[in-house]
Amino acid sequence: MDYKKLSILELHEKLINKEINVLELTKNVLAEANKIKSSNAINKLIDEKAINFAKEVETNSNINSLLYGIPYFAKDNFATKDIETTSSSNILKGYIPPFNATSISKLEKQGAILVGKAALDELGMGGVGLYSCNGIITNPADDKRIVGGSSSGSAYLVAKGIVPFATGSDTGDSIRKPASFNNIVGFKPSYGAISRYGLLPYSPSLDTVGFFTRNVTDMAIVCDATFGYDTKDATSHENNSKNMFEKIEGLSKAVKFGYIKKVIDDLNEDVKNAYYNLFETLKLNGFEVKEVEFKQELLDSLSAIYKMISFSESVSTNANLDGIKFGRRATGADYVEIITNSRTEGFGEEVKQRFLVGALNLNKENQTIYLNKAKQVRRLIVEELNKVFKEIDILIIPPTDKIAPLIEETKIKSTPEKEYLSDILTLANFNGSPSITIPFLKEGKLGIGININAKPKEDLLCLQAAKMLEDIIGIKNEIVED
Amino acid sequence: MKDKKYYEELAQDSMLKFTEKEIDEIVAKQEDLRKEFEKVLKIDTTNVKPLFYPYDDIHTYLRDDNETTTIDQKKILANAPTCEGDFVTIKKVVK
Repeated sequence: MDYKKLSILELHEKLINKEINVLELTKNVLAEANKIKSSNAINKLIDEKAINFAKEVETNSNINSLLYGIPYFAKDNFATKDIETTSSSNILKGYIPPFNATSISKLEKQGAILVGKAALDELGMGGVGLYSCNGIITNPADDKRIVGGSSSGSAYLVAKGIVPFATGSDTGDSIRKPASFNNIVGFKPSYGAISRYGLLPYSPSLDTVGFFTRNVTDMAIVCDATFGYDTKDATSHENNSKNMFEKIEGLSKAVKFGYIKKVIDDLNEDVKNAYYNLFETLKLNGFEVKEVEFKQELLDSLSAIYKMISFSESVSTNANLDGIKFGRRATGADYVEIITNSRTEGFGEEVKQRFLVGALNLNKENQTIYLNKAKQVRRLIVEELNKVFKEIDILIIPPTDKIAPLIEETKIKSTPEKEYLSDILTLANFNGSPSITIPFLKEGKLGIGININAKPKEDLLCLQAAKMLEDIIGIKNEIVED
Repeated sequence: MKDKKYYEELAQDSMLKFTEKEIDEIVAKQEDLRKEFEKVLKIDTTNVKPLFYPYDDIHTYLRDDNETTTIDQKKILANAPTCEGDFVTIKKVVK
């Protein structure tokens, strides 16, 4: 059975029409996943558990659930009960959570079948896919290029068609950037719309649970299953976006689109023209498209603010990784040496360097100079975005202006005046906006996405706009074939 | 420009050790980082309150007593590298 090109909705129809059954589908997915183990995209396959759950789901079939029998991977920074969860870090090797992340429990309740854990840049830090402790993950369409990260394994598995969806987490652009590089859909919902309970933290004031799918309608389905207030997460928020699958086609013609002129003009010529052509098409379809202003000094500070805030939060939230209570312990003469050695041996280079910058910002003398300042500028960024969303409903942003870079290119700096473009997706983490990347342009097998944002807590509107743009652009359900 | 010793102390604060070579690389990168942070420092933030989360309405609250979660002690201890009886163990602190 070749299931790989099928969307969640198509799989659902075949399952309820009994053209395929859950057990057969699960076994097929496991077989396909086994074939690509050398890609490093998978940290763990849970063959036996998945098959047992598939049998259980089949017996108590809840065919009203669109996720009944649908296989998926969870990024390995989601706690999964009785299944090793390492966040692709050596220090967490052997850690078996006694509980599920809320989002995992919700998917289980809907009958979705977890088949394994997807690799990531260690502890969610990296943005490239080169920092998993188990080895690098490359772009499925071209192994000389990056897949993007930190949700690299999840992006790889969805792009290859191994599963129709996978969970991800997005602190700066960890879902939306790899979605762009892999011709798939990646959504970071509003901050707090999906519970963070059980998501291993990187930077709690920015971290957001989200997903990869291969079309926008499927994204609405997984969001319907996982959105909701959770008392276990103090930053969880009630979100009025409900029944998004049913309402996905309902975008009002009164919705106003907008873009920041300098941002679009700074793109390379071909990509810039593609954006302006798309704006013309939107106008022909009866939508208003407006230029909006955004202070350049704030855009230029995005990378620094991200580093100041996220690195500081990361060193603090990961202080519990000490080799004492769980994970790997190194030897040492006393507890200080044991902890220091466990952390030194357990963390990769990128993580340790981020911790050091975090410690620098948290140092008594620097807290006011750097960290407090960063938080003040964060407010200015949010206020600027509030102004934008008073003028328009949907802000269009380029997630990248090129296809996935070659691995060796990742160390080359872009021109300073255009550097801000590579960090622009972090805007939505600072203000908690829903933000989705969908496929936009193609160069051979490789893609360049487009990113769509709505004001915080307007997730339904964001998905409706994405669906309408997906219909105009006409690229969806793509997989990278062998 | 801070010296190597400063970064070694920072490493100690975060309970990490760096090799001589790693520290040298970090010190070399600090200049780039300082320039990047300068972009933030020059922005006027007079009378701007810091923002800790995306929204201002996030606050801590007291949970209702009826929401309790317990984790099986056996599972907790099974995750520890070493344990004895009801305790996670480590090298003796007082000898």
